[in-house]
Amino acid sequence: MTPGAGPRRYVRSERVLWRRTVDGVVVLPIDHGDYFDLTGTGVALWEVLAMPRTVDEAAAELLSRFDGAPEAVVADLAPVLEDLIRRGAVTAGDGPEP
Amino acid sequence: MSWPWPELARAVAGHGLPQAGVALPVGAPDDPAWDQLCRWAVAQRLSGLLAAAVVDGALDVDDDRRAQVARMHRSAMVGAIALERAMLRAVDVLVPVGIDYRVLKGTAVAHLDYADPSLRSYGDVDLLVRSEDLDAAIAALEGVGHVRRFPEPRPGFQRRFGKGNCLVTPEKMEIDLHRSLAMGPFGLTIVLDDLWARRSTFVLAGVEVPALALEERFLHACIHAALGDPIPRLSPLRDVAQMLLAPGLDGEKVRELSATWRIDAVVARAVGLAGGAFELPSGAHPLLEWARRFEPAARDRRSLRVYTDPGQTYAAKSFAALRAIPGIASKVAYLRALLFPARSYVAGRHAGRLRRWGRGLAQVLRPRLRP
Repeated sequence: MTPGAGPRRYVRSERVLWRRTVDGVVVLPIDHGDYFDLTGTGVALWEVLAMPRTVDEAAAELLSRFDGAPEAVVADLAPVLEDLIRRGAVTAGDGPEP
Repeated sequence: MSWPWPELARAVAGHGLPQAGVALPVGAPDDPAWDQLCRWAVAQRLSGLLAAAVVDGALDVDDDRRAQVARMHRSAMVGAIALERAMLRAVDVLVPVGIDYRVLKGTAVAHLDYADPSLRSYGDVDLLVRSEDLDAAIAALEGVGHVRRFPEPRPGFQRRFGKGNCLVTPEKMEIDLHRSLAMGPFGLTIVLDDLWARRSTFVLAGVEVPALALEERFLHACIHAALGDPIPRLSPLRDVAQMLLAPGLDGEKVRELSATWRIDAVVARAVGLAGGAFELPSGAHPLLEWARRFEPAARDRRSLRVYTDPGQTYAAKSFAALRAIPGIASKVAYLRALLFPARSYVAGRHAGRLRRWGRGLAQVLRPRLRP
C-alpha cells in the first residue's frame, strides 16, 4: 500500500456557488454552467460533504439523521456521489483521514 | 384577516433582528394582504427574510403559499449566485492586470453580515476600484465583452469626480464599478484612501474575496440607506440595523470615519431611520442615541435634500457637488464637463445642448424656489 494512500473520500468542490432555499439547496458548479437542486436527504448529504468523507462515513452521518438500512444507504450513495462528481459539485480523492 | 401594510413590511424586513420591536401579526393574512406582501418582497429584494419567516413558522401559511414563497426565494437565490459567478469572472479579468478591488454591498453583506447568505438577495454586483484604476478596469472588462451602460460627460470625468460606472456583462447582468460610495456632494468628501486601509474577506468558490472592513461597510450601508432613494427602502435599512447590532461594530471608529468623511448627517439619518423602522431601543447601540440627538448643519441639510427630495435629479446632485470639489481648477473642469459634455453623452438623451441646459437649470432651481 502506498504511504499516505487511503480510501476514496468525497467532499464538496471548492468551485461551486450555492444557497439554501426553502426546500433544499441550489448549486452552481461555476466551471460547468448548470444549476441543480438538492432536496430531502440530498441536502443532508450536501451538509455532510462539507468535510471529506468516505462512502461509509457519509452513510453513517446520514443514518444518524434518517432511518434506513445501512447496506441500502451505502448502495444508494455511490451513484449519487458519482452523479455529483459528474456535475462538478463534488470531488473525490484517495487520501488519509483529514 | 387584513394586515396593516407598513407594519407588516417592517415586520418581515425585521425578521430575526435581535431587539427589534416589530413583530409579525398572528394568523393568516387575507389574499390581498398576501399578494401585496409577495409583490413587495420581490421588488424590495426581501424574499430571503420572507422565506425565513415562513420556514421559522413566524408567518402562518398554507402549503400553496409556502410553495409560492419557495419559488420566489429560489428565483432570487439563483439570481444571486449567477451574479456571484459574473463577479468572479470580472475579478479574473481585473486581478491579472494589477487592479485591486473590494466587493461592496449585497454580495459582501450577504456573506459577512447575515447568518446565512440566503437571507439577502441582490440585483447587481458592486465592485470598488481605486480612482486611478477606474479607466483601466473599464477597458479590461470591455475587452471581454462588457458594455458601458452610460457614457461619461468627458473622458476621465468619473475617475475624477464621479461615483463610478455601470457595465453590462455578456449575460446581461450589471456590474457597478465604483471609485467612491456615493455620487454628489457626500461622495466627494469621502477620504477614498480610508476604503483601502483595511479589509474583511470571505470565500466564494474557493476564492478569497476582499470587502470593506466592518465599520467602512457599515458606513456604506448608511450611505445607501440614507441617500439611495427618496423614500428609504427597508432592505438597506435592515443592513444598517444588522451591522449596528452585530458584536464587534466599533462605534468610535464609525464616528471617527464619519466625521473625517463629513457624512455625520448621512449616518445619523440612516441610523435614525433604521432604529425607527425596526423599533430598536436606544440602548441597543450608542449610535442610536447619538443619531437621535444629532442636529445637521444647514449646509448638510441642503445637501441631504438633493438626495431625499421627491423628484431628486442628477442635475441637482451634480450642482450640489460643486461645493465639495476642492480648488478652482477642479471646479472649472467639473463645470466644463457638465456644461459642455461630449456629443456621445448628449446624443439620445436630449434634443440638444440648449435643451439640456434648460432642463438642468430647472432641476437645480426647483428645490431652491420651493416655499
